[in-house]
Amino acid sequence: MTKPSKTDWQIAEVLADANDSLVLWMIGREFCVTPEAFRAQFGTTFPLNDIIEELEEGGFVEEYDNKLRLTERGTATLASMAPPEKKSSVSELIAADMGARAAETDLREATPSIAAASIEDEISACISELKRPIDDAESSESDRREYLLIRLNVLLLIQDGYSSFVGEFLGKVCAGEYQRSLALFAISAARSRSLEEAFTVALGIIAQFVDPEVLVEASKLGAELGRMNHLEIAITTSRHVEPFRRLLRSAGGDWTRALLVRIGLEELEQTLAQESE
Amino acid sequence: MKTVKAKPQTPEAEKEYVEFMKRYKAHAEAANRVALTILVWGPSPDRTCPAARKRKKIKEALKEKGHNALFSEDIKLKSVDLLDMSQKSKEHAQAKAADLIIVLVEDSKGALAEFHDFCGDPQIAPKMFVLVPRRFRKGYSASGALRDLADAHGGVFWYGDDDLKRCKVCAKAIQRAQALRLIRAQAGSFQ
Repeated sequence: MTKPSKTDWQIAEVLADANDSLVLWMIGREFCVTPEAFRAQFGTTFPLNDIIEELEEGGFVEEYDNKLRLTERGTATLASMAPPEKKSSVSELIAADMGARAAETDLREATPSIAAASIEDEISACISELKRPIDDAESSESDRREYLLIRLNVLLLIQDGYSSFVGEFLGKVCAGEYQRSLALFAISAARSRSLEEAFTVALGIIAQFVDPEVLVEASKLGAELGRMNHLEIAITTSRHVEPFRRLLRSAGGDWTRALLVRIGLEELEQTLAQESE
Repeated sequence: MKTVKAKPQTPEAEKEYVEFMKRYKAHAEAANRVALTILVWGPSPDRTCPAARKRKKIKEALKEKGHNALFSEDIKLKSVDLLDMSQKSKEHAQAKAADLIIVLVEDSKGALAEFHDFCGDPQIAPKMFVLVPRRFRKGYSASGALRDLADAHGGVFWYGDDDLKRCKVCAKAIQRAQALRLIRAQAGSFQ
């Protein structure tokens, strides 16, 4: 084949990135044509500014009359996304979405696996990163240090045998945006010691907040250890059980309800739904 | 962090998101039938520095995505003809045969040298994707070979120090491989 041009690469890289494609899609569908609308529909933690900047630089999106719209290149890029082969039912759509999210969970970039390095190595790496001179010019420096400090504390707790306190620690001190990624990191770190320890960390986290992606990890460990009943108890006694119930009851809770069924907690799903009625 | 996912906050957004995912997944599935041979150059896997660990992680992640990801050190051909070849000649041959070459230059003078050796070859340069720390921006490579590669093929990713730890580098390598898959899938050519 002919060698891809720089434009071919740019288009393909946008299509290969789910976030870039999502923003392109939403603008193309005119579902969200302003950053404010996007934040209202998809939350404030999504790194929208970076993505829009990147799409504008690449010539995919432009601003016109205070609204975002696709350029010719953006329209062509979106059009090249394969159409669905058949109409899917709602449950198939949810299953497809779950599959895609689960695949991302397995290779989550914001959740570095530390299987290849020991906890001690990770602690040393964290400390040397923190000792590095502060670069005032870098606006993300304080965020980075905050993240490293919390990460270091998570590792120290696990190293010192306080795995059961990791969840409480994260629940109390962790900034919202790091909560999920550090929770998953803590489970991964503990897993390098033992399955039991990873499960203990996962249960401790669920006792504080029931995050669907943490739930996926916890269910894998619970199934492997034959301790799914402990996971069920952790969910029902969690401090976060009320918001979780509300989520299950909400129109947007399909994915989470399907997740509970998928991990074998159908009865719990029914119980929580009933109790919330 | 760009790896943070959008979370639908309203039923309408959830519906749009599911529709998008359906299309996106169909598109990705078409591309995922293409397996690429990808060389991952960088610090020796025997070392314990973060970049060496990252190199191993990139290889594992690419393999998990269905690619034939390799370190040059893994390729042990026993042909008599190869015995007399220099390391440079062997790697040149490997680079010509590969679909994509991910180069992690941090903590690896060897990988930087390999990049400089081959980035002028018009058959190899478009296949190269070089991951470089931002602190290298003032060096000779940045104003020379890396700049040419970036301008001609967009084959350079500059990253901050925390990006290596937070796996943005690995994500970028996987994204590049996925992009090449999409290009191949759309062209219908499997080389």
